[in-house]
Amino acid sequence: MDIQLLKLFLIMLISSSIAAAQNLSSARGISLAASSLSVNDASAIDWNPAAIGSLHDIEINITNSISSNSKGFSLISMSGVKKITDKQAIALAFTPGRELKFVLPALLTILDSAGNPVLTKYDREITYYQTIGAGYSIDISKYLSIGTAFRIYGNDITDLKYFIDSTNTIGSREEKNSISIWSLDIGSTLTINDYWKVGGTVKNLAYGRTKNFPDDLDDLRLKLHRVGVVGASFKPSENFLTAIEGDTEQQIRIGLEWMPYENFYLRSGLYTLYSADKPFDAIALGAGFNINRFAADIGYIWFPSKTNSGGNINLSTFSSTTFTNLDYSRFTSDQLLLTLRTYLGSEFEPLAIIEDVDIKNEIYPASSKIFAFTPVGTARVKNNSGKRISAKVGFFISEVMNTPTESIPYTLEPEEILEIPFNAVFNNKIDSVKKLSIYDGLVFVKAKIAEEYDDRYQTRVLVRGRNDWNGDVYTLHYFVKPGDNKVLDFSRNVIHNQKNRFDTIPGPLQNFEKARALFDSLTHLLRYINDPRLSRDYVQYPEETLTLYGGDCDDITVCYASLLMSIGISAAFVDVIPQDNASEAHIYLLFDTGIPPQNANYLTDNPKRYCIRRSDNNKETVWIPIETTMLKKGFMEAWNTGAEQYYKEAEIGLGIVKGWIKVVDIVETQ
Amino acid sequence: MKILSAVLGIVIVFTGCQHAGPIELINEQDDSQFIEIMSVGNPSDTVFSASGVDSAGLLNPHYFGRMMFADVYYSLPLRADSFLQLEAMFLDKSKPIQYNGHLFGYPSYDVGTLMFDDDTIPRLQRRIRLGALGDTLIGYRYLLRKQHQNGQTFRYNWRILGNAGFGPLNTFAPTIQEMRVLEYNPPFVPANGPLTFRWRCTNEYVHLYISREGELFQRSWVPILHLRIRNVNGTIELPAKVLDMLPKKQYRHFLFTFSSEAQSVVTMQGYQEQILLNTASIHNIVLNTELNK
Repeated sequence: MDIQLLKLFLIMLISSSIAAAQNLSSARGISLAASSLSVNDASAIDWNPAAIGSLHDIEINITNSISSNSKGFSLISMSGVKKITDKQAIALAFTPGRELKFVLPALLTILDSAGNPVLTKYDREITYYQTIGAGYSIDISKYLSIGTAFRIYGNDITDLKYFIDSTNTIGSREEKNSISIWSLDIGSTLTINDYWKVGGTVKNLAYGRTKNFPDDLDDLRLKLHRVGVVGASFKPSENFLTAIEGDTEQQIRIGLEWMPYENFYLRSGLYTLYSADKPFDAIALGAGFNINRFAADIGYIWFPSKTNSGGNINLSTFSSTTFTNLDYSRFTSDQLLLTLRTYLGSEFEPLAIIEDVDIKNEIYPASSKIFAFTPVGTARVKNNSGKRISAKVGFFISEVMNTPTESIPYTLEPEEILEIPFNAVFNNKIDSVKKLSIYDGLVFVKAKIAEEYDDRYQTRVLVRGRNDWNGDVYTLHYFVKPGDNKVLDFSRNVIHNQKNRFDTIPGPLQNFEKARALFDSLTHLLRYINDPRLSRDYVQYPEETLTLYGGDCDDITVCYASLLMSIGISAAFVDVIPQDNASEAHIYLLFDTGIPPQNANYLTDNPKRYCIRRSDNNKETVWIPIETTMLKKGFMEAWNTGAEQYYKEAEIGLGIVKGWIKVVDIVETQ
Repeated sequence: MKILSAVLGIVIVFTGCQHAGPIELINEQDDSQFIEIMSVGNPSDTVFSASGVDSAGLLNPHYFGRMMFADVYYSLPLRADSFLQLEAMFLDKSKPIQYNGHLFGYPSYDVGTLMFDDDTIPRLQRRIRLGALGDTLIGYRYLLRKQHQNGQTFRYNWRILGNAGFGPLNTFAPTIQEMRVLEYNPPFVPANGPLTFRWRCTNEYVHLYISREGELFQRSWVPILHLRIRNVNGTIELPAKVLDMLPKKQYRHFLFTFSSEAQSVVTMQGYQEQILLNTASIHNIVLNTELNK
């Protein structure tokens, strides 16, 4: 995960440490208790606005409640979510039932002219309500989302005023005072992996009001306070979820969700306090089920202490009470909640799904080009529709590929599963990979009628460092770079410096003499140095060997082969892996002298010092084995050693016939 | 479209509009529960209705006569005063005074010599102006105002010595405890907020009359509120809600009259209707409004 993203998340967590309250806008949420991170419906605007973006394209959530002190069901909230882009979503909440009402009874006794008490409803009626809420979320990355929610509350106070009219009769009238209060929440979610998610919210991070009440009513105003929540959710399987969260109100909430049958859920939640003398604040239970685009939930929250929830409360206690929201406070009574959810919009069932992905090969930058033709992996694709489909699998690593690749179309019958291979075309950036690195590769499948891929599968792809070699001699030639400027400079200089000598050498011996001159030049320049890790799996490009003035047998072999080929001399690798001792494996070189076999005596009378091979032009010529590890002893010794090895291993030991020696012609690649 | 229709249907069916009932708040600091507010137009048997408001006798049909004793203490912004006021009137309900079809009141009897303890109460003429008839004598009232003397005690003995078949009567009015306001805070009528009084008196109820200034050429004070206060511990915090009833913007001063009252009735031989005996200890306090303090 990106460090910057982690920092951003930590900053949000720290700011969250000042955090959340519960909401009655979701039966699932209230029965899960710890829902800031497990919320999966449009009530996310209340729980954690960062979760808005994780919902469907269009989603609607309607929640009714009935409490122990209400006469019937009340529409708590109707909220909706709409995605505006892949990464951004907005939400809107209409909350007619989010209301708290308090009355101060009239204590004054007013007697009419006949001495009878005049009945009055109340002295003051105080109403707190939320008018509307709006939310926005954005996915900063595939791991981190942030969101914000804005709410407007109304606060009405109806004050009964008495007056004396011109006939000295006492009358009364109601005076209504109203103000609006706004608040702003922020939230974040961080997906750690498929199982874990963490996050936080700050409720009422900022809040204010449009105007003030008269002084004598100000104590009765809705007073908000800031609350921070942090939490985590863990979903080890599709049918089980657990979540925990804590807030700056010193409440810890724990919730469980279990799916005993497909699309049927059971939930429970516990609301407890760190330091309370009572073991818990509330207990919640719930259940729910899904049918296609609809879901229904039921939840019940029970408060063992009924101190303020439905009865009377002292005015001074009320005046000092501050709120996080209107749903969950000291005045909240036992509630039965019913929620209906549905999602609309461009949701579609994928025609094809990827069940698994198998990356067949690690990627070696030197040989990365082969994946344009050789599959880098396969995807197990299932036809998820009831019809025959045509599916293509694509693959993309954004860091080292310019565009995604796409396989040929494969036809799948209904329910058929097929392993579809996919390729990769890497760009030049892969050559700058210095060491073993891990990249995220995206594998996706496109069905015939889908405009976008029907399913995607995130997988890990190993990309080796540019000098890594898989040990296969057939891929070693990718390190041979005869056209490299440094190689060309070197070979041209050697030939040029001995121009006069070469002018006197007969034509058939030109290749041999030039090869000897190049080797002897390397003798003066290079030193034999083992691999950094004493491994044959690390190969230097010739440019690096010439710059570093040394290398091991692979490096010098590749370098010498590059020099030979830069002046038009063909070469071949001899890869020896002894049957009885694989650790003694080594590589040396054959180069083509261009001399026909009948003229081999120009070089030597000893036929054991060379071999006859067919050249590119389909003519047989004399090839000289060179053991490059004999670099310091000069060309002749390297020839002798190479020839002796080749004779013993290839001809007497029948290594080529038996397959433990491979002679691979070097083909120039760029 | 089907889905949308289904959703809308569910919304309609599923939506309820029954809000939870209100939560009642208890204000233990509010003294309103100890206060009854009565209109001063009410024919209550109070010191005011006896002495001024009902001077025509129109408002109280139950008594034909009233004898009132008041021990009055005045706290004005710059001085204090105290006096005794004795007042009595006996109405002849059989001869209502009407002019142009309107009832103006009743004539009052001359009952001869009226005494309270050892004091004879002077008899004064009652006159009213009835259009072209000019000033007309409609009877007599009795009124004595005298200086209050410290340490003075009373027997509360009312005596009518008799005149032309009226009386005699010898009776005792009920005794009462002295009402004295000890302090009030703030020392003005606040624009917003309560006003607290503390007094010395243990009667179960204390009456408070709040009067505004009278208009020019009218009486000095016009009562606008009558409060009957249950005397819990010798104090009351008048809620802002009560004080807001006062016309604080129109008037600069208000008179707060605290009264400890007691009453009894007595029947005189030859008359079916009763005579009301009022005894009151009164403390008047004049307070400026906050804007004029």
